[in-house]
Amino acid sequence: MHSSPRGRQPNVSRTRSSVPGRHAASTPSGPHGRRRAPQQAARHGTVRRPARYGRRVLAAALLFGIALSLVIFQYQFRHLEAFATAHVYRIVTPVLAASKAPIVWFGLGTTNAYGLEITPDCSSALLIVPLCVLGILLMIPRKLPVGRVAKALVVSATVLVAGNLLRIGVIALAIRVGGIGTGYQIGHLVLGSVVSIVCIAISLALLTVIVAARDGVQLRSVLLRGHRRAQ
Amino acid sequence: MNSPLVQVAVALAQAVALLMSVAFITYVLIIVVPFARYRERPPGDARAFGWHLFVPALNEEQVIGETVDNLRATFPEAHVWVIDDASDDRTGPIAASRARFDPQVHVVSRRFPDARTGKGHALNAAYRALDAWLPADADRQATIIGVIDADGRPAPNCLGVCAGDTLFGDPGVGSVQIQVRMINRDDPTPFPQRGRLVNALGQTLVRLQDLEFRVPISAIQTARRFTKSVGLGGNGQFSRLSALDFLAAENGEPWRGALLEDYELSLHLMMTGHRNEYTPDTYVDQEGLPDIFRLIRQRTRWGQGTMQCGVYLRQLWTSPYVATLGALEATYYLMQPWLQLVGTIIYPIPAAVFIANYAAGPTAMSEWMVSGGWMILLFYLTAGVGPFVLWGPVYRSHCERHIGIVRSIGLGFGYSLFVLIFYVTSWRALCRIIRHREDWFKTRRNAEFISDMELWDQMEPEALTIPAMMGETTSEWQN
Repeated sequence: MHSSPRGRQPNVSRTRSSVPGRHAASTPSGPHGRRRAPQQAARHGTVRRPARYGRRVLAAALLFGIALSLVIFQYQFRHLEAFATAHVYRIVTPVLAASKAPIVWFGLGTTNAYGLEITPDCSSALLIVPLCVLGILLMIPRKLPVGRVAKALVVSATVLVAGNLLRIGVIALAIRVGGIGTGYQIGHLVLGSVVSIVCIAISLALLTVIVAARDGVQLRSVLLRGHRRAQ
Repeated sequence: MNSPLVQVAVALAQAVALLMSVAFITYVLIIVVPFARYRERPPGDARAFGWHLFVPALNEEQVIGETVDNLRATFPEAHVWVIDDASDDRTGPIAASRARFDPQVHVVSRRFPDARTGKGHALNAAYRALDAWLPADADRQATIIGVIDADGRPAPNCLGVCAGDTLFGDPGVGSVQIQVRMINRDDPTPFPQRGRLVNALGQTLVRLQDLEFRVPISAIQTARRFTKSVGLGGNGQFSRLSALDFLAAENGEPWRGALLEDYELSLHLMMTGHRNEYTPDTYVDQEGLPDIFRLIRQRTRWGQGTMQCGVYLRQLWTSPYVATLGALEATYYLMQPWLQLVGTIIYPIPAAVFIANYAAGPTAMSEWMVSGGWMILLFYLTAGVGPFVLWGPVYRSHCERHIGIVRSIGLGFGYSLFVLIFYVTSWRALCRIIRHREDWFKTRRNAEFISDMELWDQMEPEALTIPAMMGETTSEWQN
């Protein structure tokens, strides 16, 4: 391609000035010398918004507060989870939450009634804590609007809580089918773990999609495009 | 163990471990899809570009002559630039002897005190030499620089593939990384002087590196094409000269000083609006390391280099050219050594709890195990090992069809053990950072290492220190 004889000394300054975009590094234009229109930049979510540190700091402080509260008041949260579980499954079977402990009673009115205690290990409270820490980190880049990160965290946390309720239901169902011994072991140790892992994966994937989506409209277009491709 | 505070602390640690593990499993499942669906793309016309292959060389007399000959024979249109970084051996004269008779072979000689300051600086020296050599009216957009290791053997279709419409045929692409393979993956005796067991272990280690580069790393890079965050490696890295010029105009030189200068370059290209691409359609062969000591040293450098690149996180997130998904992916990658440090602390906690419970009540725990506790152990073992084992059969189906299915699963299990090395190297990298150790030693070639082993056999046991066995007795810089 280059036929220059070896040892030839080209005019370096000319060479440099001839490089496209070489002197454009300090300008807002791209590497190919094209200046990006503000609208174009906005489409790519790249316009620097005015620094609103106050809002970010407030959001981060709020998340820290939530995380700390979940650790300190995890017992109360587990109680709430027990009540929520009872409310959800009451539709299909007689269920009651104990009033003084995080325990849900299934099979009431039968001879096979049993209670499931929601321990710290089995609660979604402590799963939300690292999510809050992640949220605090996501509050740092100015590229990510506070509202979007908050929306992503709310959706993600909701999926975690709902997933845990589903898990408790799966354990209860396994006990009904397999009995308090084998049914509980399979439901708690295997099926419940599968539900947990799937729900955590969905929760994290949604968090990423919402955080990375430029806005709701584009997220929908991405999903629709994917749907069309699948068709 | 029964204190509520301890229970909550343990549960919190387990929650963090669970989230980290599931995040990893999800990541693996996501990257497998584009990799499995990847279809080969048509090559382009290599003659539309000018090709310059940089070969950094420090004490490479054993391989440099053959490498230059191979590059010139395989790519007659390319110029080869050997960068002799003040070698103590005959690297310089060997390269010079080729340059004397071949106008397309060039030698860039570095001398002390400027020499041996890092691979990035060596590449910058070649960049300046090329800049001075090129005619003033050279089309720098159509000039491509490749970086090839001194033992590198690029595939014959390499330049044609890189010239394809979706790679350098697209003016928006600033750099292309090609797949890396291990040339000695089928060598049954990496240590000819040693016994069967040592050779079997050595060959397995090389095979696992081949698997790692051709499957999980390839899958990660293929997925990065969508997030626009492809990373460059030290071998088989191609960049458009105009893109390097752009970086040089900003900083004076394209390559910077991190130990992972290749990934650092890709970050700078990304942050200045250039697109990095990856292709598994072609490859470069390099030597795999059959011994654990050199492997630990190599991976420690990777870990330390990744940690060093963490300083670019702020720039990454404020760059108008990096999309959020790309920034997230790059952040996840840059966080890996730190997550591994966290992992070494929190992943053993469930095992510690189990042991503590067993010690407190062996009968109750035994009953729990028999009545179904084994299921959870089996389940978590599957969830923990599965994402690694899966790559074994994928390696067989995509790369090495001659390997049996059982052996491929065995390789998958081997890979799940192989990655444990990162838990060692991340701590080692952290120690080096704390001690402000940024110097490095070149990874010795297999031929050199084997001759070292013969010397060790004659040495007194007390003289056999770990640094000596890791080859840290020779000169600086990395490979």
